[in-house]
Amino acid sequence: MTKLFAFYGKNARPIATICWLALIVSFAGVLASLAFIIPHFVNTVARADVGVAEIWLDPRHIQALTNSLFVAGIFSGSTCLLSTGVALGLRALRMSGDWRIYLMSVTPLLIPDYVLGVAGRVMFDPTIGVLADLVSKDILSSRWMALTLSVFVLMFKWLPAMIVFADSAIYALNRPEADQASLDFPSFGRAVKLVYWPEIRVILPLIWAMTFLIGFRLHEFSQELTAGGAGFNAELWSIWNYRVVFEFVQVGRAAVESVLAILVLLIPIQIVLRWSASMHAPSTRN
Amino acid sequence: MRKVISACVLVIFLVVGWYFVFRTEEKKDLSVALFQAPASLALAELVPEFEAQTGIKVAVEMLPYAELRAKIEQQLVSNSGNYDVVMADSIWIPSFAERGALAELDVNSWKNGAYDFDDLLPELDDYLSKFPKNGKRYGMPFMSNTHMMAYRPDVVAPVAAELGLKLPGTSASTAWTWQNYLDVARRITAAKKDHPQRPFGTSLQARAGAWIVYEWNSVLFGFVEAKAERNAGLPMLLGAGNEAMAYYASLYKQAPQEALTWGHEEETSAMCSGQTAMDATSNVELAANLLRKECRAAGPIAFAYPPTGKNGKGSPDMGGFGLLVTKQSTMVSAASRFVLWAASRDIHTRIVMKGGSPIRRSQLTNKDILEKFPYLSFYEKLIKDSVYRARIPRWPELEDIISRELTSVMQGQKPASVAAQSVEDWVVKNNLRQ
Repeated sequence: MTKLFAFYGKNARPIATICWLALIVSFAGVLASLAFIIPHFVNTVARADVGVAEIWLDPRHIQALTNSLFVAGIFSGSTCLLSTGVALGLRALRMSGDWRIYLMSVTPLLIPDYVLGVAGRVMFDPTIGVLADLVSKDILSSRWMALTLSVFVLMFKWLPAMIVFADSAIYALNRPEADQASLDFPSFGRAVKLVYWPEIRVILPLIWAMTFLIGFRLHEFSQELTAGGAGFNAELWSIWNYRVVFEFVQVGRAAVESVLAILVLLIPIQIVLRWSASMHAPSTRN
Repeated sequence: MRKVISACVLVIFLVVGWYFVFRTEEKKDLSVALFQAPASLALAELVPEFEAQTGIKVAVEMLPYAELRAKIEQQLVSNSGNYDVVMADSIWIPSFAERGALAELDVNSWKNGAYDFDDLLPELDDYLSKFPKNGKRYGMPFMSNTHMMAYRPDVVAPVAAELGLKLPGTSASTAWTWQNYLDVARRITAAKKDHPQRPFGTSLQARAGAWIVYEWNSVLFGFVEAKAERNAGLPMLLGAGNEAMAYYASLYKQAPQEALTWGHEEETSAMCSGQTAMDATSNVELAANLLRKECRAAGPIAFAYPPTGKNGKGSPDMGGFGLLVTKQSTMVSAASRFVLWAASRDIHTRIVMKGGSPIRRSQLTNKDILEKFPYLSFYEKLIKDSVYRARIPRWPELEDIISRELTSVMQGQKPASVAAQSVEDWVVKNNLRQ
């Protein structure tokens, strides 16, 4: 906030207010969730009917957690790669910051997740889908195919927005710098290496973090698209946890599982924080 | 900045406080949650008649299956009275009843003379409105379901003749056995090798969860001989379970590969389109769809008594939904009156005519209903011979275990004996046979 006021003076006040409000609401949401999870976790542990390790290591839970981490990892990695590539492509075509592209890129975000899932099913269902003749009959029943399909369909909604993020990093270069880069480096590859890539990589931790969380927390979308695969082999953690609460009626168990999920997610969060810090360290900007 | 934060916190407290202090507890409308189905749509259309008759306003909310369950559970967890009446799947009722979520039906709320409970099909009435068996009444049956066999005579007849079989009839004595069914399915599927456009031998609903277990339960009881085990709803799985899993895996080889992700609708759709030639566990609640003109484009469809098992009886799996009164309701009498009205002879018969499934004997002898849905002529026999999934609160989790183990057998990942043992171990560990 200090930097905000340093740049914009009193004009920063409304922006700062909105930022504070967003922070308060976010923290309130986090605290409310923890206020629900922690007492149920403590209660379940105290009852000692079933050990924490037994709950955490239930093969069904581990499978669901692995599936979510797979989807999150592949989705975030692919999105980083593709958004970088497309942003550089837009730069090469001198279309960085084009408002029409930005507008089109934001439009898929209006599609609700469950609609995207249904649309994906309409396209890729091996029996009645539009592309039924082109896809494997196992596409929804094979674990890895179903999970990969989830990543592929999810791209349609989120990749355009991530391209905007990546492109905005290049577009943030002011006009004289961008023009100078074109003059100094007739080879686009060299310009990428020395000018554009250093700008894009600063924003990559943000893109990676956002898409990792988007991939991990998938719910209605995956349910509509794959129905959890054959024998729940492609079930994601969010759906498994939901079923533990609403089908098995074991809220305490779901709370215990949530604690593990939080601990596991701390790892990529730490990676992103350190990566982001390294991006902003003075030596990396040279 | 501190002033801004303090102001925000104050506003949040005021809003939350206003909600809890000033919100009105008084409820005037009866709130009803229904599962999205033809029977529910038909009921919703008739609600104005109830309102005119009784002066009780009714607010109906139509929900998809998973969302309906989730909303009912939210009501239980928060102990708030969103719904007075809920339409509950048969497999949810034991859990709701055990947790004290249901109110006993007030049968005295019925004001139109004596209520004809005797007309209800007793097995359905018990399964969809009471817990435990012959226990307290929490509501009324509303939407019934069981299995029957659907098949395409022009595809099946020549194959059956080759095997020396007559076409299956509408009683246990004229039905095929499960082995007959598998043999015919194998031959039909084998013909696809030289003629890929020909149908598969059988349709399945092998989607993990309620779908695959609803179907497999019917197969399971085909291998159970002891009457006591049949009545208990949860047989010993090492014998019959092993055989049933192996059988089902063999049946899967005669079905489309993608049947592993099929539910009721896809299974029925495959029959309608002619992709499959037979379905041993066709859902009666969806059978009306098979009478549509577009389903006859691939040839006629006939209905029969489902395959019989070791004890010479069929084992169609009973399902359906009951209309139940919730414990949180502050209008139990009004809710009871609505439930009794919805299941009453006149109203429910009109619902059946619009695509609902029968719950009363009188509906099964009604000329108009039988003309529209001829397969209902042997429905009472099917209901009498039906088996049912174990009426235990932890059924949903057992269903999860069975789904996973059975699917792994179908995919060739483990033998049926190992899978059946895993399920039996889980049942014993969790004391589900008490």
